[in-house]
Amino acid sequence: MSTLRISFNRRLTILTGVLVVTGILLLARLASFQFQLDMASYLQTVANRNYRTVDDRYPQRGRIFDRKGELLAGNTTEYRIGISPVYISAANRERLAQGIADLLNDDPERIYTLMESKAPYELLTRSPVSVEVAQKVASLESIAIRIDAEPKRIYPQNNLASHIIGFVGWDGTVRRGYVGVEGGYNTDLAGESRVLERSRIPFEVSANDQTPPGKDVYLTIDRNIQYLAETELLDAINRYGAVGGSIIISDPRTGEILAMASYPTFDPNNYYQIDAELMKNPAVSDGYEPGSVFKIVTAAVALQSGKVNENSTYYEGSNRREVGGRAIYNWDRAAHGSQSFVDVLVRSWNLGTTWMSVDVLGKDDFYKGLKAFGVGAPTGIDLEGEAAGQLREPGSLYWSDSDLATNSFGQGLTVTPLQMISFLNTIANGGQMMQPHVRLKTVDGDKVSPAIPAAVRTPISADVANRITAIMVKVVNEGEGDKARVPGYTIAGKTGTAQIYCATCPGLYDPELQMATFVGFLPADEPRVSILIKLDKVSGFASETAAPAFAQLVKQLVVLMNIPTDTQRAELRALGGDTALIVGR
Amino acid sequence: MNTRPIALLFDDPEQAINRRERVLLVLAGLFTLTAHLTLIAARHLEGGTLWLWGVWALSAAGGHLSLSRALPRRDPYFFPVVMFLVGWGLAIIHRVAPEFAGRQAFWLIISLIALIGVSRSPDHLRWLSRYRYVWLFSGLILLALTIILGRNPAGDYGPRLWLGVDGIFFQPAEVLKLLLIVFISSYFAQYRQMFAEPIFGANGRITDLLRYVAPLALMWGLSMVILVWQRDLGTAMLFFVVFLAMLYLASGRLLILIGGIGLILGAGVLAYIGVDLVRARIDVWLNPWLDPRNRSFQVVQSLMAFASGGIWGQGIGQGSPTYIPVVHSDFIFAAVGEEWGLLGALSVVVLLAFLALRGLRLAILLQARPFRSYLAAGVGITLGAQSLLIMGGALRLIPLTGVTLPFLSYGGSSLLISFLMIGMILILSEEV
Repeated sequence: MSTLRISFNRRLTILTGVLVVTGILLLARLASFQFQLDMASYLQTVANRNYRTVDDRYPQRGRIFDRKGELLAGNTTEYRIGISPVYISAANRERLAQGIADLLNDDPERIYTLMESKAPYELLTRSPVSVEVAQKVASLESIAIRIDAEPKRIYPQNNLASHIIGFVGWDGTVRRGYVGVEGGYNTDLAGESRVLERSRIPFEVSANDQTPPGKDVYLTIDRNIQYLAETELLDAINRYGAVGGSIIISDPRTGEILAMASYPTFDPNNYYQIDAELMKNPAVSDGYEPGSVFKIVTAAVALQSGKVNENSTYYEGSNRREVGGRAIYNWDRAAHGSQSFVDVLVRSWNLGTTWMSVDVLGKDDFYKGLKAFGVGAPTGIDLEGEAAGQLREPGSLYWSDSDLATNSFGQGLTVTPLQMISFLNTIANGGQMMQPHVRLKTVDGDKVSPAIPAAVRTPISADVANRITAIMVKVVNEGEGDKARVPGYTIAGKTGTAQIYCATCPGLYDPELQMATFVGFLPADEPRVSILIKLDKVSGFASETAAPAFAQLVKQLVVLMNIPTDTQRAELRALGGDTALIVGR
Repeated sequence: MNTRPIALLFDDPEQAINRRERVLLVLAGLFTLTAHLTLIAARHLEGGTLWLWGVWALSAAGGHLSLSRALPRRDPYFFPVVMFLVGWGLAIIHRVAPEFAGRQAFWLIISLIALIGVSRSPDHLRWLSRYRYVWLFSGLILLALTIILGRNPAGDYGPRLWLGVDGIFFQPAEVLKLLLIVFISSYFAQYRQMFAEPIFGANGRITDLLRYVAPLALMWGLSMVILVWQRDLGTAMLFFVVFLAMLYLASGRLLILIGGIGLILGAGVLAYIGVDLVRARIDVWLNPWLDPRNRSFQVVQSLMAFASGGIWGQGIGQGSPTYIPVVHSDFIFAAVGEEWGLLGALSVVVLLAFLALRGLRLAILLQARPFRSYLAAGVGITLGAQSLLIMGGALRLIPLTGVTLPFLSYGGSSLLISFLMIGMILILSEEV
């Protein structure tokens, strides 16, 4: 009995020993994770490889603000929710499907079907969801749920200034901006991507994740002026039965664009649902035959040549003049005898500008003058997708002698609305054309880089500019631009009713529909703001459509921009004040 | 009564036992309450989930009171250690698989009632021994039923190891485990003198060899059946290891131990060739980095959990143990390693070792009554071997065999059987 007792003890001891030794192996193995350096670092590396992934990290895109700091384009994060069906047990499937469907406002049946899939991953969300929803889904605490964050561009003003702002879309695998500022300043806004570690755990934002964001771009656009321009444009379009149009409001002294409205607009938040043609900014991308508003350029070039002055006259013996085999008429198809240089603009005689280009200037000087203004060349505005307009020059295959006459009154050539207002601004700004631009400043953290206004062309002298301005004041006060008058303000302006090619009668101008344009600036003696209004395919003259629309816009604009009336300025000047201080920046 | 000398406390052993158990339970309660509260804070959970801890506390109190009455001279360490592990496991289950925490609490109540039931009728141990063939055959019938009717509560594409209706599933292999321990203890207790004779008998007859070989072969065959038909590598391994240890304990022959290990390796080689599951497990064990995103995903994630835990751990609710598939069951040890670190994992190992070794200690103390001694050893070995199998698997020390980590893992059948085993141990400890 005693031998059995001892051997039984020994057996138990041996068994205990086996258990203990195995247990010690286990402990050593456990400790090896923390103390055996190479093993631990190896596993740490592997752990990093699995929990973290190294990839191209794109910084938060820079935001876009208006000149007063109102947000035009910002960022948010959205989430895509998917599952790994293999980790969902059949018992849980229905409950989890119901839970997810409730949170996603989706059909539980659909989710359930996806959960039965054999695929390693199934996307559950039809469109990305907000962080709140994603967090609620994450709190369901199922290992099967996979949540991926993706950045989203938001445009809080929706359609406002959509043509200027543009949108952000996918270019293959990279997000980039298209059209407008998003396109033109894509490099600044996008910032520099870096190769960085990224956590795979959603919501975990490590310090590493924070690539410096792209630069913020502040625009010269004023949200309120832009809004006014857009509402007035829509109002004018409805009132005069136009199919579209543009309004540009700018500061001729700096070239800053304060507002640039075109119709139709689009909502950049839904850029993917929108016809690409709509996203084009007609104010910078579409050339058109400007018509009579272009006469200010012809007149400026003529005056600059020194061959004529305001008192020079020409004689209209017939209502018809043939140039290069083409008949030229006045808008009223009448002959008016002796007319002065001033009358040509005030009454808007086509035969008058034909006299300037054909008789006074000749083709060399005329086209030299136009090119000095930049006709046919892009303005270089900082928006993506600018068109240059078309100017056929002598010597080119398509130029004909008749162009010398028709070009003088804005037919047979095309300019963009932006080019047209730039020509206007040259006159308003004493002969110097300032680079038109929409960027006020770029802010990169603490670093602010303001846009410096720059003169790009000086096609005419200050004297010529002032004299043209004086004639343009007469256009509004005495001529056919009278409907553009606004009490209290001296306005320099010019109307333009351009013929358009007819859709139903090829090769001919449309007998009924025209492009109506009005350009003007104020106060005429101390220009602070210049405006272009263009209405597409209206059936009335610009003097009856674009001009009154201009007046209605200016009446509100002077309040919004706090532009003093002529009387107020005169009083201030009488007190020894410097009106440039109020009118100035 | 305040002036009562301290020495008097020790004069009353029963009171000292109750006091010790109570103190340990209070400590366990503080730990588990802290774990639950920290979890609620870390995961922004509803405070209402504290009812889980409430169930635990009521179970601990109820168990303690009931045991104090039924088994006044029991070992005071088993119940607190078990409750400590269960409470900890409940917190971890709540953290990694909240949908399972309520069920685990439900099974805790069932298990505790079973424990109390067993403790109230110590006589049952005697008829356990008497009707050993009934237990053996009912166990085998259960196994056969499982092979025929088995299901998997998580969907019938997994191993069908469960029997059940109406959402309540039971794993017969767990019952079989207990029944086998009882049967083997009883059988060996009766025939232990026979084992004392030489292997080939006094006359060197082959038939004498059969008394060693027959049960060994039977058990090995049973394990292989479980493995091949049920594809339940963990249970097969556990059964055979426990049986082997018990056979060695009864016979005292190292040759049996060595031969048995040879049989395991042989079976391993055969299974590597013939059973795809085994081959996958062994391949993953040898080199998990070959396919870390698919077949070895679980093991690799487990290793990463241990590595990322550090010495102090990430803190409950702070790590990412949910990346490990079925972390709440087979891989709960990895969750401990990640969120409680090396210290937490060491605590688990030490506490489980304590249970196993204290069971073996009982076996020594009870050796005058062979059935009881073998039963204590069987329970101790089972707890120890099962813990080592799954912890070693989670640490890639040995190939992965899917068994639960006693008391910590989610699993109703496992918890119930573990509690029944502890109930038996407590009765045995009362009889020392």
